[in-house]
Amino acid sequence: MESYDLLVIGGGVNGTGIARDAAMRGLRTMLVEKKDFAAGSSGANSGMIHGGIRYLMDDPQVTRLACLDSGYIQRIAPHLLFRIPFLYPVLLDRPGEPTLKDRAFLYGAEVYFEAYDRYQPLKNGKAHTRLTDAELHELEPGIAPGTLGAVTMDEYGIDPFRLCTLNARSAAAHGAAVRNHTEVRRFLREGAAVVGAELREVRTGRSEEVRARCVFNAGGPWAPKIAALAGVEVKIRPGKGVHLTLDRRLSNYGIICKAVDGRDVFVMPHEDSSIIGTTDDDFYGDPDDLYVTRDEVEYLLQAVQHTFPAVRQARVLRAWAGVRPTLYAYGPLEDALSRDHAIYDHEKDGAPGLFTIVGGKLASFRAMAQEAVDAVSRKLGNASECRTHQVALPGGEVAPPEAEALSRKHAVPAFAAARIAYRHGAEAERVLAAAEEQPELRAVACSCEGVTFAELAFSLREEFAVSLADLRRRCRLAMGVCQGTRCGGPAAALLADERQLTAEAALSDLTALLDERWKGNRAVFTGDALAQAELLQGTYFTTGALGRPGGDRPWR
Amino acid sequence: MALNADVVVVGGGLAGACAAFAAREAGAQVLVVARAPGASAMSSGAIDFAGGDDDLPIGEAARRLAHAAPAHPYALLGDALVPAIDDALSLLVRHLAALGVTGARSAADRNLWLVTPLGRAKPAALAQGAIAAGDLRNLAARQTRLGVVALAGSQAVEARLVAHGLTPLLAPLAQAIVVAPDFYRQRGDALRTLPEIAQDLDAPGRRAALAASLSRAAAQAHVTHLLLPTVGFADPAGAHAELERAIGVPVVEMLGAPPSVPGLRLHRALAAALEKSGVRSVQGIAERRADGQVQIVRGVECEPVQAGAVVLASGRFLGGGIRCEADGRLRETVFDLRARAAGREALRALQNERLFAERAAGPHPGMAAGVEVDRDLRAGSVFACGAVLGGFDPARDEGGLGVCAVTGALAGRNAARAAGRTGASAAAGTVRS
Repeated sequence: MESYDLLVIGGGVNGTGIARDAAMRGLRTMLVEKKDFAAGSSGANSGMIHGGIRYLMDDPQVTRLACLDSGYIQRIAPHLLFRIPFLYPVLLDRPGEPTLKDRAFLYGAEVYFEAYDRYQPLKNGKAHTRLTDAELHELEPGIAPGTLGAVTMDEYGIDPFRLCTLNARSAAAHGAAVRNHTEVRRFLREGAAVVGAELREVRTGRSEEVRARCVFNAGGPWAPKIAALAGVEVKIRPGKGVHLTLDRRLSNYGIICKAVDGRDVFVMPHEDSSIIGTTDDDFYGDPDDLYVTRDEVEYLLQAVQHTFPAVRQARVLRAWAGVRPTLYAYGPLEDALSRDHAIYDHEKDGAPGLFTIVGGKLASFRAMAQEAVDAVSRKLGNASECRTHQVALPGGEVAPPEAEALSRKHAVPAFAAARIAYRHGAEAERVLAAAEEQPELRAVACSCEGVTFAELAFSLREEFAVSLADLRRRCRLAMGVCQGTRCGGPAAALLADERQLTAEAALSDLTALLDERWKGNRAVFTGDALAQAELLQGTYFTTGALGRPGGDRPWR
Repeated sequence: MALNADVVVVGGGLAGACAAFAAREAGAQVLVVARAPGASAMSSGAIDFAGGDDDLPIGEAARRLAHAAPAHPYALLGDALVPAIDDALSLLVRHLAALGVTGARSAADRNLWLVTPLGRAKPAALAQGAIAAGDLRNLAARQTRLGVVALAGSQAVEARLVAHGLTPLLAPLAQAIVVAPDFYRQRGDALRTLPEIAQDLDAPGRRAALAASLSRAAAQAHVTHLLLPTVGFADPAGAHAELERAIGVPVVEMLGAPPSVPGLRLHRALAAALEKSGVRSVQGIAERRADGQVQIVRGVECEPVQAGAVVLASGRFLGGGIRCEADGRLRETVFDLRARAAGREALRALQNERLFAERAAGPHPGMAAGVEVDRDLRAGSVFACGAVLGGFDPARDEGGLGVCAVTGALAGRNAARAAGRTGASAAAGTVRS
């Protein structure tokens, strides 16, 4: 039986972050994830490393930690972060006719943003500025006219899927055993102590037992379920958050809008699309069974339309939901819940050896992981120091190559080279090396998101990807405007090649990818989305005969 | 200047073209108004009437569809269904001779089984010459050694999936292997898409050079047939013959996924056939004016149309004939006819999961949205045909363009009759209640 110092459960940003930190401190570490890295909440958030200006009033320590860690994440993964300046426009009930109350509100907002300015240097952000209505419309002409002006602030966006994958890869590079598509069936106990777990590889059904001196439950919204396997109760107050993806960059800036109930909702550019987010509602269901309702879609669109009317001209590609593993509290409204985190040592709950982390923000994952591994290290008597804020993630070591030079050197289209440079940073050359061996890997498999076959092959060979859905998370395959209409067949062909699959197995994986896309698409089936759906249905089922059982010879 | 015609057809796809052919054959003066190429331009190039798992004669398979789905346009036709299929088959073969369209000669024949870009078999009654030559029923019946040609880039990767997928379909007598010719070996060739390859092969000397390369590869791999992703754009029948002559091995072609070369060829061939039949075509958006008259918007100009009868062949969501508004309400876009899906006038996906299944493979009654017609294919004051009709779903039925052809031909004949034109061939296709 394999034996580890630490078994980390959960491949989200916390789990991968903990595994990386532990492995770098020399702990023999294993990371298991029942689906894939960032397949849960870590991949269903706004994709922001933001400082948490919202928490400044009640939880200033959350804001400070997020800003501090945001600065560190910029240092270790500079290629993955992109700056998003945000605009906070003050709309008027009667456009162009501000009341005293409106002026007081803008003044108050500015004071608040000024307080946030103190944290900006931690994350290399600019101090706020105040814009007149004219200046605001010069930046974003689509904002409703007659505002009182706006206040700006600086935030950063990130590809959260790649962040988790890179953490997992870094953990592996530092000696950790990394297993996605592997679930924990039960804990091994010696007396009360949790001393390991029985694991099951989900895709093959193969089971194994591993021993571990400590086990870290980083299951996010699944954390209560995992803790229950050890007979321990972990209480969270799960909050469902819905986002929409638009088919275009609606704006160049992030824009904060007011929803019908007064909540803040934002629209912001993300890669070639825009993201609208988010709702925050208590969630009582199973995090494996998340659906978006039409009301949630309409609520978000209405909120943005109020500030940015042209949003109705954009096509909503999909709606997606995640569950926040928020700390438990009875009483507050969802928005008022603390975004702080907590680390539990379950020794006091009668399960020594088991730890759980819940709560927190994407932006402060690294600091939380550090705190988590500190707790484990104390228990194990490990004195090594955390280095996750000093050592770059894969691809973040030096500046990425210049996209045009990359494009010329490897004869790939410039738009794809630019995306490779973004997603892979200093590893871009490695990604394209495969194309020098196999010229057809230069071809673009997904033109919406500029994904070359070389990049897909790299993820299959180096990044623990085993399915098309895994490739979606690592390379944005099928995440663009056609939602997999064009790339599915070519990508399935490459998957079959790289993993030596039968055509049937590759097409069944393709079906799983299409099912996952369909789930998010059908929540927004109106207007042009249905035209896209008809084309997708035509491509795969009418033309491709994907719905027929394979190897079927009905003419006999 | 008013545009006048006995029959005005709204729609630029296969259904509209069939309506125009049929109305013209019935002696009517016909005008086709198309906003843009129809969704048929994105089709695989196969014309499918009805499929199913039992390899039934096409007419029988169509009757089963009609029986299983009472809202299917086939169900409206009753006993006239089989003659209508015969009629549509012959109409298509007549007008698409330039593409070498071939396959079933009547509803009593069975489907061809054509090679899809995913390496599966798709049943269809008719296909363009080189594609029809790839009928798997035929290839599997003898000791075929089919060389799936990996040309360039993405297509070269996909060729391997196709070969693997065909292997069980061809076994035990026949087999499929990948053949990689020494053509398209420049660095930039990997970036060619299939339509670009097709266009390139039409350039002087290029097809001959490919043939020379394929001829060497075919000999080396001892193949009996070659499966090409495309033979070219402009003259597929000529290109097919040229390749077979030069290589000395039968060549067959694959169906196309969007942007589909065979689909685009079908679109071009329809346009040419309409012109040859004496049908006038204009690009523009058809609208109904407040007084009920039809007008065509072309750029900034509006031209009224004097029409004896109107055929609506504007397609579904992709074609633009049916639209679902933000509030979920379904709308027919030209004449504001009543549109429904599964009997509902609004699609509210998640409040009614019966409209869209959870899995992509369906069934999705919501995808079969469209206008409702009577047995003469009348919807109010117009005749409707093709995908603007509700009740059928090509992705599940294995009957798409064939339904467009059947209903198109009928709507065209009925419109000619309504416009006061009843030529000799009109009576045969008209449905009486």
